[in-house]
Amino acid sequence: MMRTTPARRGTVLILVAGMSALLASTALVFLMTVRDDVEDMSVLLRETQARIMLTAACSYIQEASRLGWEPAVNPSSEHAEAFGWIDVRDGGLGPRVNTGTITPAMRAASQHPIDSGGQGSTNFPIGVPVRFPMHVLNQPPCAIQLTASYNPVQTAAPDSGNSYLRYPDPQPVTDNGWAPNPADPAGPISAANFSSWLQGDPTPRSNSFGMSWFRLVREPTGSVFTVTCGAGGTQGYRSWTEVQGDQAGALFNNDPAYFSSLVLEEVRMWYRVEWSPATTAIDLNYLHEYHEEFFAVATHTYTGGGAANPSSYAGAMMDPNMGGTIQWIERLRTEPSSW
Amino acid sequence: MTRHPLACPSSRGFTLIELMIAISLSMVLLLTCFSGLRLASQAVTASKRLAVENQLLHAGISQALEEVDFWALTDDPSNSAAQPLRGQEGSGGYMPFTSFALTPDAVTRGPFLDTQSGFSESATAPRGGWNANPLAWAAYDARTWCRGNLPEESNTTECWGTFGIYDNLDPTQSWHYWYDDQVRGLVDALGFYGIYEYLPSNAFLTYHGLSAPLGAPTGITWGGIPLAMIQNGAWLCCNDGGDNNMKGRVRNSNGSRYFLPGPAAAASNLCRTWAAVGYNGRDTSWNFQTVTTFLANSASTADLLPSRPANWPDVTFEVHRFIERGHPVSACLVTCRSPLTGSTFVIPFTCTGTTLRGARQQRQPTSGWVVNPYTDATLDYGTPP
Repeated sequence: MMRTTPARRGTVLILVAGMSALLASTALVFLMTVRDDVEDMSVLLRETQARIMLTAACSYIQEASRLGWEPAVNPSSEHAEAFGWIDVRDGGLGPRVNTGTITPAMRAASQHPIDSGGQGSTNFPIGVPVRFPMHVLNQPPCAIQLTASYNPVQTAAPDSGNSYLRYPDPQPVTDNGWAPNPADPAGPISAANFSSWLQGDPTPRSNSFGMSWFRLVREPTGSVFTVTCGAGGTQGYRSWTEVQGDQAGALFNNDPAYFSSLVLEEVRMWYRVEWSPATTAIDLNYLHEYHEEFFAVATHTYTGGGAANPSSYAGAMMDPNMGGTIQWIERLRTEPSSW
Repeated sequence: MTRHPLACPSSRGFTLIELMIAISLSMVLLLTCFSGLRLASQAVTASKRLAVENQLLHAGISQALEEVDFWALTDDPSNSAAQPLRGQEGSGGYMPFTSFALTPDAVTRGPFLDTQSGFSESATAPRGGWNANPLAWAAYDARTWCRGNLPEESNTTECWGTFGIYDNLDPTQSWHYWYDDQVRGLVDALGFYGIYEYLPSNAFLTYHGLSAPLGAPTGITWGGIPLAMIQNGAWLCCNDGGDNNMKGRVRNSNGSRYFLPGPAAAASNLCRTWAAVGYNGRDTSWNFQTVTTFLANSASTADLLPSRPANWPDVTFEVHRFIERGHPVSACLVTCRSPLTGSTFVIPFTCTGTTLRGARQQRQPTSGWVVNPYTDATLDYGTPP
C-alpha cells in the first residue's frame, strides 16, 4: 500500500481548509445579510406596533367615555354608565357616573364643554399623563369562554333531538360555581368562585410583556387628548425619575443605564385626537328596513375597515358606536413638552 | 546490488496512469468545489439583492406611513409650488387646503344669538366655511346633532315637512341655520371629502337652505333642499334612493364614496364629485376601468429613489385617501419593480393616521409647519380652539 508523504497530506489539508474557509465565509456573509435584513425589519415592526397603539388609544378613549367609572366594583348593583368626556347632559367635564339628576339649574350653570362647571368632578384628570402598558393579561376580569355551542343537539335519550339550555352561554372561564353540580343537580348553587372570576388573573402573559404602550394627556377642553404611542420595553415610563417616583425600578433591574438603553431602542410617536360624543340615534338603526345603512357617518372613526373589507356587511363598521367617535387625528412633528 | 537512491519506490515519479487518475479526481473535486462556491456566491448575491429590495421596501413603507401622517406630497407647507390643493377650483368651490379665512360667504344671516351658550353672530358678519369659534355649535355639543326622524323615511306628506330635522329646531329657541350654513359652507370650503371631519358623526350630507354651493346647479327642490345636494343634482349622485325620503339622503351621506384628489388631479375639479367606483361596499359596479380611474385621480405618489443605480429596484409609494361609509381611509400601495428579474410586486395596506383636519392643523395659515400645536395659529383655525 502506498503511503502519502507529509507534503501531499499538507497539500490536501490546505486545499480542504481553503475550500472550507471559502464556504464558511460565504455562509457567514449570507447569515449576516439575513440578520441585517431582520434587524432592519425590527424597526418597521416597532413602528407598526406603535401605530397599533394609536388605534388602542382611540379605542380606549371611545370606550372609557361611557364605561368603567363606577366608584367601586359592586356585583350587587348594576354597572353605571357615564355620559362622555363632555357630559352630554349638561356640557360639563366627564366622565361622570349617573349619581344624580341633572337639574335645570345645573344645566343653566354649565352649558359649554369648556366650562368645567360645578356638577361633580371628572374621573379622569386634566393635564396629567396617564400610562397604559399594553400587555395581555393571563385572564381578564369577567372572562368568558369562547365556546361556540354550549348545548349541542343530543342524539341519545332522554334528550335526543331536543336542544336545551342546560348551560346557557356565555359560560365563565373560571367556574364561578353557579353551574349546577352534576352529581347533585337539585342541590344548592354556590358562588364560591365568583370573586376569582370577577378579578381574573391580572399578571401579564410573558410573551406580550414590554412590547408596546400608550400614554394620554387630556387637554383642558376635555375632549382633546395628546396620545403618545410607543413600542419598546419602557412600559411607557418617560424617564428614570418617573420610574423612581412610581417605585417601579425593579421592572428594569434598578439599572438606569438599562432603562436608557430601552429608551434608545424605542419608537415613540405623538398625536392629538379629538373625541366627539355624536353617534346616530339607535332607533333609526333598528327600525328602518335598511337599518344597516341608516347611521350616516356614525362610524367615521379612525378605522379603515371599509377599505380592509369593502365587500362585507359584517364588522364594526356597520354598527352604531355608542362610545362616540374620533373627530380628527393629528400627528405631532416634534415631541411635546407634556406627555 | 546497490540500488540508486532515485530508484527507491518511495521517491520515484508518478506513472502516467497515476497522474491521469490524480488529475481526473482533482478535476472532479475542483469542479464540485467550484460549483459549490458558484452556487454559494449566487445565493449570497441573491440574498444581497433581496436584502436591498427588502430595505427599499421598508423605506417605501416608512415613507408611505410618513405621508399618511404628514400629507407632504399632497400639500407641502414649506414649498408653495407644491400646494396644488389650495385655492379655488374652476367650478367655483375651494380645495381642502385653503384657509377658511379665504372662503368668505357673501350670504349673511342673522343676527343669531344662542341664549344657551352665549354665542352670537352679527347680521353682517360673513359666514365662513367653518366657524372656528368653539362656542359656535361645536360638533361635540349635543345640540348640533342631526335630528333625523322616522316619519322622514316614509313616502308620505310628512317627508316634505319643514320641521327642523337638519336645523335642530328647538321650539323654545328661535330658528337657526347652523346646520344649513355649516354643510353648505364646508362644501364650498373643502369639498365633500373634508366635510366628514367637521360635521357631527350623524350628519347627513344635505341641507335645507336657500342657496346652493358655489358652482353647483341652482334651484330648490322639495323640502327646501338645493338641487345640488340631492340625487338629481348630479353632484351627490349615488344613484339609489330618491330625494324625497331619507334613503336617498342617507345614501348620499353614508353610501357614497368621496375621495381627495391627488396632486396630479388637483386641476380637474374633482373635490365635489363622488367616486364612481360603487357607492357602497356591496355594489357590483366595481370594474377595472373605474377603479383604475379612481386610483389615478386619488394618488399622492412619489418615487423612493429617483436617481438610483440602474440595477437597483424601482420602488414607488402612494397614498389614496377616500371616504368609505363615513370612514376616512388612507390606502397605501408600495410597489417594487426589479430591473434584474423583471418582477413587480405590490404591498397594499391601510393604516390609521393624521386626518385632513389634523393635517390642516399641522400647517400655519399661509406657509410653514406649525411649531407649537397647542398655541400657534393654524391653517384650520386662526387660533387654536
